[in-house]
Amino acid sequence: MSETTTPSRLAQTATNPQDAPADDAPWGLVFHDATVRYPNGVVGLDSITLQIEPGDMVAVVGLSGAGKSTFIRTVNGLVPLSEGSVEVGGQLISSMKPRALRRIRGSIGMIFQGFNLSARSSVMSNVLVGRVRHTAGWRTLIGWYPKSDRTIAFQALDQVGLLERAWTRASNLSGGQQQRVAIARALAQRPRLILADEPVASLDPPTAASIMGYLESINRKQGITMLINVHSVEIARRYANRIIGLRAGKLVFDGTAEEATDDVFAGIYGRAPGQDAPVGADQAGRP
Amino acid sequence: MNDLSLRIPAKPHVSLRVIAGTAVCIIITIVSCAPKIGVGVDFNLVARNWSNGAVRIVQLLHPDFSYFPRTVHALAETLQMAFIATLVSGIICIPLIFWAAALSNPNALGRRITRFILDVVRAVPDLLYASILVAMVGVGPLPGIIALVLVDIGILVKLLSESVDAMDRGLVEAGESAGATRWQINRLMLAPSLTPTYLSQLLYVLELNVRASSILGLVGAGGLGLQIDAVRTYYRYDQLSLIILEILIVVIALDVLSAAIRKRLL
Amino acid sequence: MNTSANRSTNRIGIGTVPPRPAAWGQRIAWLVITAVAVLSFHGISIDWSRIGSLPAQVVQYSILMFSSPDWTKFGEALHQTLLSVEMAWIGTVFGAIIATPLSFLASRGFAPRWMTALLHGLFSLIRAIPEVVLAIILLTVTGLTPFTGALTLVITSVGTLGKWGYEAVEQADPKPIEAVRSVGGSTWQTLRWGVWPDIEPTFLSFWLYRFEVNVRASAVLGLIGAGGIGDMLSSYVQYRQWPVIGVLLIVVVMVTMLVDAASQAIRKRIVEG
Repeated sequence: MSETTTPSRLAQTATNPQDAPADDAPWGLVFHDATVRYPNGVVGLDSITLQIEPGDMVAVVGLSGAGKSTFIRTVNGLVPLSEGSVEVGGQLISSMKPRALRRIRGSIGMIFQGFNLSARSSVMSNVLVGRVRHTAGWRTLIGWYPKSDRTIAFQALDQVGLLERAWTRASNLSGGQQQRVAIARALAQRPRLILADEPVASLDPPTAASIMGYLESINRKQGITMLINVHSVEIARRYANRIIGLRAGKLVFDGTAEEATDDVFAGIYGRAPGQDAPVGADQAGRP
Repeated sequence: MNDLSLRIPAKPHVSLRVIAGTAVCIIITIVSCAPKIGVGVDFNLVARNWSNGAVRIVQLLHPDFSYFPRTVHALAETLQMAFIATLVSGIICIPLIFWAAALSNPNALGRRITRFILDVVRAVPDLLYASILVAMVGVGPLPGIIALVLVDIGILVKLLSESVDAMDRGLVEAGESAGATRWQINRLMLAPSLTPTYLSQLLYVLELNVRASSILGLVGAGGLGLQIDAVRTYYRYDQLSLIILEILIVVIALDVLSAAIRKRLL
Repeated sequence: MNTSANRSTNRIGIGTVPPRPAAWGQRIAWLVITAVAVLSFHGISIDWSRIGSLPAQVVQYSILMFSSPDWTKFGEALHQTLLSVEMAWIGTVFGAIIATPLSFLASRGFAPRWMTALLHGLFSLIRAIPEVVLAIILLTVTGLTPFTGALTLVITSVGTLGKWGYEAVEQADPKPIEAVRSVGGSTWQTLRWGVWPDIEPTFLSFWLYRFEVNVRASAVLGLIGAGGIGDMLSSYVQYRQWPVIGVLLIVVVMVTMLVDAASQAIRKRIVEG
């Protein structure tokens, strides 16, 4: 059926008392001795201890295989910790039962390098996936979302400038547009924290800048905490106010963008930024 | 002119495995053809019975079209059985597909049990099911439909759970990270991409069903097969010929139709 | 449906919400499916009141079959199943021997147009006839013997293997074909040295797959009297000897799964080289 949304109805349903609790403040993070050991013995994350303030924009940098993806996935429990703990908004993730974990994930948006959209579904259906935790399960299974959810989804699409494409099939969009849909999906969750795993690694530079611009404005305007994995030094410096450096699963740098000098990056990457050949002898064995 | 001074590397021998494999195949074939221990291939039989068979072949070449009105009901029943079985198995297979795929079911034990049961179900051919089911629930289209559904589910779940496993893990991750349950992930992230494959396999199963349901009646399970059995008993090969013609037309028509639909799906 | 209502600007800072396009194709598809479903259930002679008691019946008969299977018939069952497997084997081997040259002759680009058209037609004709019907025709000449079963499977195997074969040949990598042609190779030389190396593993796996199909088909052919496990089953079903039927089912499932496993193991080795 078509959207017969009159202005007054939209305004009325925009704030649903059930999913807008009194406290929708952004969440901070506390890592304590967080360690991930994979079944094959590889250490993905090596006793990370740090704290991230609510509303902060943090970039995680490091070579591929340094543990960035693992690090970010421990926040919403996609990768379980072997030792230590992660606290999200004061709630201990590491000891959560599946049901509680799903509830907390409902308030954590996530954006991926490969967009991870359902390619044959419409843009709107993809954005509505962000509402699965906030609506009765049977409704999501038959695709009959309440008007309030649809309004939230339209607002999210509007925010990334894709409202006109709401009924387009996701696979018919360009890479940059698909990533914007993925951002809208995260926004539709009404998140208190957004995780982004290499959000611009598969995009060309102008598109990457536009995507990072969207993330930056979301952080500025809505104050949502953001944790972003990037491998590009320039992007980390330009958009983040705090940079965390990982190498072989260990925390090797933690400071402001100003403190992250070329020398620091040389230490994280084993080479100076923009330089292809490794400078450190210890890099010799790295593929 | 003597360039034999070139050091020609020795030609590698045909691998022993290939020779042994071929030899084993030949031996099995000879044993299988032998009388007593095997099938007993006997072309003299053909020569002896040829005149007998020739009469029947002539009959087959002259279909008795006046028989057609009496086959209409059975023909309709054949198609009905095929469609019902396709619909029912198409619905039942959906949860099983997601149980049998690793991407949608991380529980290895549950997955293995599902797959094993389906392997067992798939090991029994349709007519065997039908003959046993007729003994259980009586003559009619019902045992035929059940037999078809059993076979269809085996095929559908195997083929489609393989397609699910070939999908991008990121889709599941995206669903999980939004807090979706297993059902929600399957429905919202995986099912949309599976739909074209699902429909195309359903068409394939429908083709199989039409072919199968036309003969299930031979063991009493409804459809044209009942009539095949009857005309065969009375040696009315001219009528059998008409039935075969009907099956051919229906099967080929469906083949063309489903090819056209499939082209639009993909 | 009022377009002006759809395309409205509103107070929550949202732009224009585009109207949802009507998915006519989808609606028609659903309509057709519903119509077909209604027609399928219309007037079919099924006693729907019996459906309720069906699960209980299945359980009851399963207990009859499997609670105390008659193992004295195990040896004979195994022997009959092996006979069925032998039929399947003959069907596959001779089917492959006949189908392979035919599938080359049926490939566009290697054979004249009339020949490919003729063979394509032949293959689809064979595939459209159910095995059992073909067996009924053949047994007028060869009688109710396992030989009839084997012969039937040879013919049906030619139908499928021929089709898969020419499809594989037509999709073969064109580069080695050009290479052989460019040095002046004849059509047969091109097929032998340009095409065959590329498609050999594919053909082997087709044969194996067809063998799996034939094992199932051979059991079915027994039901109309062509010998083997189907023949044995049909006589015990006639007299409702459930404990024996149980044993026969166990043997069929066991042997079929064994054949499947063996064939899959061989196919895996072929694919891996």
